[in-house]
Amino acid sequence: MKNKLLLIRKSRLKLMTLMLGLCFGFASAQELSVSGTVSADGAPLPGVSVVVKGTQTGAVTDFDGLYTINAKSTDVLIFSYIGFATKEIAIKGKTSLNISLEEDASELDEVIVVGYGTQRKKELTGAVVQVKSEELAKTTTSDIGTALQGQIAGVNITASSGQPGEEANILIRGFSSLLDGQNGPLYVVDGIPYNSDPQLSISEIESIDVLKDAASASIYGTRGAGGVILITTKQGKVGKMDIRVNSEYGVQDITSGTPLMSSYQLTYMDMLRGAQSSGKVQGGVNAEIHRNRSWFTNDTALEDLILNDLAPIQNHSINVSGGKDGLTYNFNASFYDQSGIMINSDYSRFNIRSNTQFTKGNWKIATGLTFKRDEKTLPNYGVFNKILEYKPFQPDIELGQTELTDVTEDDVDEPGGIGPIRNLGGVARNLNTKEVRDGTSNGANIQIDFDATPSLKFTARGGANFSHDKGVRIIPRLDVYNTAGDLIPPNPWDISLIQTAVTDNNKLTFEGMMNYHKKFGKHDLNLLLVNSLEQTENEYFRAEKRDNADAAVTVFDGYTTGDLITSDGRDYKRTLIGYLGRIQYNYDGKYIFSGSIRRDGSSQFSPQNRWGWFPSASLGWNVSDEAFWEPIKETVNSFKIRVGYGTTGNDRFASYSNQAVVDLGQDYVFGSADVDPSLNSTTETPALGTTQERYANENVKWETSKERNLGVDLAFFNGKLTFSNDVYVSEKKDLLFGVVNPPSTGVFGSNRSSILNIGDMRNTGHEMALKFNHYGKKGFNWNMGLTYAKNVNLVTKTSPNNPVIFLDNSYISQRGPRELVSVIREGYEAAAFFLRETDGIIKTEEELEAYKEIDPAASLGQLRYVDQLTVDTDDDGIPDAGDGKIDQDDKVYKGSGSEDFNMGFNFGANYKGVDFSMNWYGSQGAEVMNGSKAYAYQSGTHADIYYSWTVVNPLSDIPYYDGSPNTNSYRDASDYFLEDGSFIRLRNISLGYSLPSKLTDKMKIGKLRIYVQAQNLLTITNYSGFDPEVGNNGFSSRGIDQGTYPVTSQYKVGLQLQF
Amino acid sequence: MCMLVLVSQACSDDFLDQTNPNSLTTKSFWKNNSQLNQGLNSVYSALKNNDVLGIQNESVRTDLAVPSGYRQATRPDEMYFQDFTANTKYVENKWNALYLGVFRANQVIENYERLAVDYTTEAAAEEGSRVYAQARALRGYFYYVLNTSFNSGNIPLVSSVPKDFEEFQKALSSSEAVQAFYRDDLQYGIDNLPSTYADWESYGSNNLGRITAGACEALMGKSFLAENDFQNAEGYFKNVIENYNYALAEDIATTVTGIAEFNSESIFEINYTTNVNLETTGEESLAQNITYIVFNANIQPSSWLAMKYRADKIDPADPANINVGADVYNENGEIIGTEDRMRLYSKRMGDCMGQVDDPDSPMYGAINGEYGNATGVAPFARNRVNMFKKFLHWNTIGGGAGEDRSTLMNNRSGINIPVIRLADVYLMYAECMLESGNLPEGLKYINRVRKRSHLVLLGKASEAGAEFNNLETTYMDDIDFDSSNGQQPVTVQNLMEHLRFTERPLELSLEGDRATDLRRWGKFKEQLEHLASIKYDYWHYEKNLNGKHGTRYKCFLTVSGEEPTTYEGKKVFNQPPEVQDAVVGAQKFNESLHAYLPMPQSEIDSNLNWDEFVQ
Repeated sequence: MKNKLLLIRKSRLKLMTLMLGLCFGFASAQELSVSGTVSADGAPLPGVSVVVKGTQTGAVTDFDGLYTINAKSTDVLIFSYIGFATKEIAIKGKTSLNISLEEDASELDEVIVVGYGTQRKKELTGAVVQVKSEELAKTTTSDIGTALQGQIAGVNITASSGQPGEEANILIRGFSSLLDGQNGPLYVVDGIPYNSDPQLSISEIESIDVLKDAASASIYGTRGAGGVILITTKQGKVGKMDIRVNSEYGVQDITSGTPLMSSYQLTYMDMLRGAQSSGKVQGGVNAEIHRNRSWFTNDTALEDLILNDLAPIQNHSINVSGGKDGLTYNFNASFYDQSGIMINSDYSRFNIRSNTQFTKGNWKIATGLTFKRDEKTLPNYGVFNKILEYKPFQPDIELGQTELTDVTEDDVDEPGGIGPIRNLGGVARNLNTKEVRDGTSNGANIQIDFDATPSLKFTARGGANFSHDKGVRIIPRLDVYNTAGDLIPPNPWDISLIQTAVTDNNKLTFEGMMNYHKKFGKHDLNLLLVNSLEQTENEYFRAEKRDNADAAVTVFDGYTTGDLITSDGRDYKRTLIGYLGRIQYNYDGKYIFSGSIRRDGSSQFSPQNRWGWFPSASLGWNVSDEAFWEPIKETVNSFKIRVGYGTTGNDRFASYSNQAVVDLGQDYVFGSADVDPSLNSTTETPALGTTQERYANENVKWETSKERNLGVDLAFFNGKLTFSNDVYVSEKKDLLFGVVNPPSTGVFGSNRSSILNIGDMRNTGHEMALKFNHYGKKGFNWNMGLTYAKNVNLVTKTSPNNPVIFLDNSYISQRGPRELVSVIREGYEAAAFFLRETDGIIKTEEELEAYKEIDPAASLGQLRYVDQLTVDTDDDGIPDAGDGKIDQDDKVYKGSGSEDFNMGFNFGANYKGVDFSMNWYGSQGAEVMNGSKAYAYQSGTHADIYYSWTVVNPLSDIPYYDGSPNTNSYRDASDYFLEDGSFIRLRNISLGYSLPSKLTDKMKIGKLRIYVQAQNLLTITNYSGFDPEVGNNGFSSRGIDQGTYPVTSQYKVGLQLQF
Repeated sequence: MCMLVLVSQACSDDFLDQTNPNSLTTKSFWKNNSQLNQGLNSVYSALKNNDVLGIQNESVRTDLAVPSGYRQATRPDEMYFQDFTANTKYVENKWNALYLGVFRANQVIENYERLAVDYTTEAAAEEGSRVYAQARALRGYFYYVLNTSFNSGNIPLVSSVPKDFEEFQKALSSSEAVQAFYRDDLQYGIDNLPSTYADWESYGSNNLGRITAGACEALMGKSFLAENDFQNAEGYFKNVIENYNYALAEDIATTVTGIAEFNSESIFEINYTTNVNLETTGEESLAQNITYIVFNANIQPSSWLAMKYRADKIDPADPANINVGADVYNENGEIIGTEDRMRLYSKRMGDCMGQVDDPDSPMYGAINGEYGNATGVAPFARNRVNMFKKFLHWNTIGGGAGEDRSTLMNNRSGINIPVIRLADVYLMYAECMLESGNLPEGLKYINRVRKRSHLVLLGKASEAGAEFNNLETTYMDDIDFDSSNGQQPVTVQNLMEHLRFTERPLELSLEGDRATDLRRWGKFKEQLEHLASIKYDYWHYEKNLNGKHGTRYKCFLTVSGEEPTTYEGKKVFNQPPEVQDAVVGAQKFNESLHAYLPMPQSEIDSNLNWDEFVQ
C-alpha cells in the first residue's frame, strides 16, 4: 500500500530521493560513544533526559547523574529535566561531556494537549490545564475523577458514593444540562472520543488535559458542553528498557455513623407510646418485646454484620517501556482490587494496554491495544439503610446461610402470629441478595501520520471499542424453620429470583485530518481540517426466573416459574459526523489567535435539526514580551492575557426521543376459565395491546452553550511562582428539558415528559490557581499549589408550562413519604432545595390549639411548620399573610447541594531520599439533606427519639415519634433534616523514602521507593451524618444523603520499583 | 482520505438516519384492523387499573368502609379523613388512569377514521366498525367516571390525539359539554355494539368480556341518574331490564367471587385472570390485587354498615334460610350432633361480610364461628372486627386457609370486578319509580333484589305488584321490620330512605358509585355526621364456637351500652368503650371541597389552561 502510493506520485519519489540523500550524508559522520555527568548546584542530577537532536536516540542519567549515549561526532545533544532550563550542546568530536543545568521553573515551554493537536503553554489561548501522571498516582483509586479532585480549579469533583468502583461526578464549570446524568465531560483517549468514562487504570495515563472553556471545547462541537477531558496514555521512549513496578496495599475504615437506640431505650419508647395511644398504664402495654419474649436479652447491632471494617484495598501495576530507532513501545498491566466496607460490595479490575509506535521516514504509525476486565459486586438496594431499620432486640443474623433453623415462635397466640419470623427470613434474604457485574472491554486504535512536506501533514485515525457487560442479581432462597422443624412459608412478596442483564456495546471512530504548519518570519500559522465519523451500537436484554428450587443451584435451570425476557427498549444505534476547521496564528509568540468552526450532524435529531455549527475564537497576548515590560521582567517573568468565546452543544439524551412509537404490553384477557355455564368462551388468551404511550418531539435540536472567558497567567521569580486567574460567563440556551405534559393527555410517570428545548441557564465563575516550586541548594525541594473555584449557577428560563419542576430522584429517604426536595425553578440554581421551614415543637395545649388553625390534624409533640406569607391581602403586590394551611406553596428556597466555592491545597517536599506530600480539599456552602437521619427517625430507631418530646419529656425540641414512618413531623421536605455540608478534608498524605543509589546499584535496580499513605484521614465538618461529600447522581440527588455508601478512610503502604 | 470525506458526505444522511429498533413508530403502525384491535386491547387494558373504580378509596371516603384499624384516629388517611387535596395520590392516580384510557381510545378512534375510507371488503369494514364502536363506548365510560368524580364535572375534554400546544394544554369543558360528549359515545355503543356477552360470542371465541350495547345502555341510564334526571334515566333502565335477557343470579356470591363470571346478572365487568401470564408484571399482568386488599382487611365495613348487615331481616318462611345439618356443640365446644335450624344472619350478610359469631356462613371452608387463631389461617381468623367477603375466594378455598399466600401468587387474584350488574339497575330503576311516585313499581324491583337474598319483603302481599305471593315468602308492611315499635307502613318517602341507606349499601357495598349517590341526594355530610354520632364498644370473643381457639381480641362491635345478643354462654367484655367512625371525616367534610375530587395538582402544574373554560 505504502509502496503503491509512493510509486504513483511523482512528488513522493522526489521526496524519497531527498531522504535517501540525507541518510547517505549522515552515514559519513563518525560514530562515537559520549558519556559524562549532569549536575545542578554541584550535585548530580538523576533522571535527566539526554537526546541526540533530530533523532529518537536517547538516554537517561542514573542516580549519580551519569549517562552514556551513542552519537555522531557532528551531533548535538539535548539535556532536559523538569524545573531546569533545557541545554543543547554540540559534541564536536568529544567523548566526555560534563554538563551543569541551570534551574528554571518556567513551564512556558511545556506542551499542552488541546483537541486535535498540541500547543506550547505560552501559545495557549484557552483555559486548559494539564495534570501529569505523578500527581494522579498519588491517590489510590480506580477512578480518574477521584484522582483529579482538588487538582484543577473549576473542575468540581464529588464522590458519588464510597461504593467500590463507583465513578465520581465531574462537573466542569457548573451544570451544563438540566437532564439528569448529562452534565459530565467528554472523554477523549489518545484522540478517540468515548461515550462515557473509559475506565482506564491510573498507571496507564501519561497526562490528563482538561479543556475547561468553551473556546477550547468547541473543537468537540456537539459533545463539548460539559467540558472535555483529554487523556494521553504512556508511550515508550527511545532508550534502554525501563521497567517500573508499583505495588500498594491498604485497609479502609469508616469513621462515623448514625446513632441508634439500644434495646432498652427502644422498648421503653414502645411502651410509652403504647400507653399514650391506648390510654392504659405503661405496665399494661404489650410492646413488641412482650410478644417475642425470647428476644429479651438481644441487643443486636446490624452495623457489625453489614460493615466490614479494615476492608483491604490493593493496587499493583507494571509498566515496561523502551524502544529503538523507529520503534518504541509501552506495555502496562495493572490490577486493582477493593473490598467494600459493606457486605457484598467489591470491585476488582484488570487493565492491559500495549502502545507501540513505528516511525519510518515520513510515516509514523501508532497503535494501542487495550483489554479491561472488571468485576463489581453490589449489595441489595438500600442495604445500608437496613442498619437503621433493624430493631436492636431482633435476633442476630448470620450471613450466607441458606436456612434458618430453630427460630422461636413464641407468639403464635398473638395478633402478629408468625409475622416476625417471616419478616426475619425476609431480612436475611435481603442481606444475602447481591448483584455481580462483569465487564469486559477490548479496544484498539491506530493512528497513521504522514508528513507530505515539512509543513503539511496528513493523519488518519481509527478506533474500535467493544464492551460486554453482564450483571447477575440473585435473591436467594432462604428457608426458615421453627423449633418444631416446620417450614415457615415466606411472605408472598419474598420471591427468590435470578436476573441476568447483558449489554453489548461497540463504538467505531474514524477521523481524517490535514494539518498545515508554516512559519514565515515571525508569523506562525497552523491550519487544521478534520473529518470525523462515529458510530455507537448498543444491545441489551434481561432475563429473569423465579422461585428457586434449592438454594444450592442458582443457574436459570434451578428456578421453577416465571420465565421473563425483556430488552427494555434499550437497543440503539447512534451516529455522528463532524467537520472541523481551525486556524491558529501567532506573531512572534506575542499575539496569538485561534479560531475554529465545527459542523456536526447527529442521528439524535430529525433531519431538519440534524446539523449544527459550533464556532469559537480566542486571543492571547503575551504582554511580558513587549518592550515596555522589560523593567519588571526580572520579577514578573511573564504576563499573558487570554480572551475566548466559544460555542458547544449537547446531544446526550435518550435516543429516539424525536420519534413517536407504539409499545407492546398493555394486555387484556377475554374469555374466562370460570365462566358462567350458559356461555362457552372458556379459553383465556391474553389479548395483546399495543399503543403509543408517550409523545415525541420531532423538532428537538441542539442544546447550546456560549461561553466567554477572560484569563491571565503570571509567572514570577524565574517561574518559581505561577498564578493564573480565569473568569467566565456561560449562557446555556435551548436547554433540553423534559417538559411534563398534562396527565389529561394520557401520560404520567416515566412517560410524562417530552424532550423540548426550553430552558436557559447561566454559569458565572471565577477560578484561580497558584503554584510555587522551590529547588533548594542543599537538595531540599518543595512545592505547593493552591486552587480556588467558584461557580454560580442560575436558571434563567424554564418551560412556561412547567415553572417549577420537582426532580424525580430527589427524595431523601425511602422509608417515609418520599417527598421530592430539589427543583428547577427560574431565578435559582438548578436542583435547589425547596423545603418547609420548621418552627420548633408543639409543646403545650395552647400551642396546639393555635397551630390547629393551620393543621387541624396536628397533635402534641409534632413539628410545627411555617405557613409562609403567600397571600396578598392588601393588594400591594407583596404577599403578607399565610393561606391558613401547609401545602406546596410553603416550601421555600433553602440552598442546594452545590457549593459556593471549593479549594484545593497541595504540598510536596523532598530532601535526599525522603519525600512528603499532602492534599487538602475544602468545599464551602453546600447543603446536605441528612437522609440517613430521616430514615432512622422514620424507622423509629434513631438515638434522638429517646430524648424526643413525650408527655414525660415535654420540653424536648425533638419531635415525637408516633409509630409511623409517615408521621407529619418526619416528612422529607423540611429544614429539620437540612445541614451544612461544608467540609475540609485531608484527602491524601504520604511519606516516602527512596533507597540511596549506592544500595540500589548493589541490588542491581534503578530505583526503590517505599511509602506510607493515608487517604481521607481527617475531615473537618459540622455535618452529623456519615460524609458531607454527597454527589450521588450528580444532579437531581446531589447533596441528598439517601443512606449513600460513605466514603472511607484508607491507610496504605506501597512500593515503587524501577529497573 | 479525500475519497473517504467525499463518501461520507455523499451518504451522510443515510448514516445519520437511525430508526428506533425497539418499537414500531406511530407512522409504521396503525395499518390494518389487526393493529386497530391491538390498540383496542390496550384500551381495555386501561380498565384493569384499580383506580378506575377506586374500590378502596371510594369506600373509605363514603359511609361504607373504614381503613384497617383506623377507628381510633391515630394515623391520618387522606381519603377517610376527608383531608384529600389536589396532591393526594389517589386523586392523581385516578385521573391518570382514566385519561390514559381516553388517550388510547382516541388513538383507535382517529386511526379507524383514517382507515375507514379504504376498506376493501364488507367483512373488514364491519370488523373495523365494531372496533371503533368499542373504543367509543369505552371512552364514554372513562369520561363518565371523570365527569362524576372530578371538579364538579368540569374537566379537559381531550377528543383527539394532541398535536399542537392548544391540544396539549386543554382548557376545561363544562360538565354539560362533557356529558353531551360521552353520552354521544355511549349512544354510539348502544346503536352499534352486540347487545350481550352471548351476542359477542357469535363473532368467534375470545370476544367474551367486551363492552356491549346493554352495558352502554345501563351506563347511559346511570349517567342521567347521576344528574337526578330520573325521567331520562328511567327509559334506559327499562330497556336494560326488558330487552337484554338479564336475570338476577342465584346469590350475590355468584357475581363477586369469580365462580360464574359473565353470568346472567352481569352487565359489564372487568376481566382478570391468574391462569395465564402470571409471571408478567406491570401492565402486562392480567390479575388484580383488590382481593388481597379486602382479605388483609385494609378496608373493613364501617360499624354502621356492619350493624345494617346484622339487622338484615331474614325471611323465616323461606326454606333457603334453614341451615341444614348445622353443628351442635356441648359446653366444651365439641360437636355432639347436628340440627336443622334457621340462619342467625342473612344470606346477604353471609355473602358480603364476615363476622366472628356467624355460625352459618362458610369462610374458606370453615364456619365463621369456628374459625380460629391457628398457624396458617387468614388474618380475619385472628382479630379483625368485620371483614368484607366480596371479591374473595371464600367459597372456593377450603380448610380455613384463606387466600393463596404463596410467592407464586404474590397477592394477585383473577376474580372479575363488576362495573355494573342487574341488581344495581333494579335499584336505580326503583329509585326512578319512587321519584315519580310509583310505589308499587318501586317496591317490585326492590323486592326482587331482596327475594334473591331470601329476605323479608316490603309492602303487602296482596298488592298488585307483589310477585312472590306464596307460602315461602313473608311480606311486612313495616319499613323497619320491627313490629315492637308499631307498624310503619311503607311509603314513597320511607322507602326512598330505605333504598338509600339500607338496600343499596347492603346490596352494593364496595360496588356502585356511592360517592355520586350521596352527593346527588345531598346527603354526603349528613350521612358522615350520622356515622360519627354513633358510639360503639369492642368485644373480645373468648372462645370459638367449638372452643378450640383462644381469645379473638376486639373482634365484635355493639352500639355503645348494648350487649351481644347473637350468641350465648360465652364470656365477653368490652374495652375500651366508645369507638366512633368517621369522626374526623364528618367534621372536615365540606360539600364544595369533598363531594367531588379536586383536579390533581399534577394537571394544574402542567396545564396552563387549567383554570380556563373552553369558549
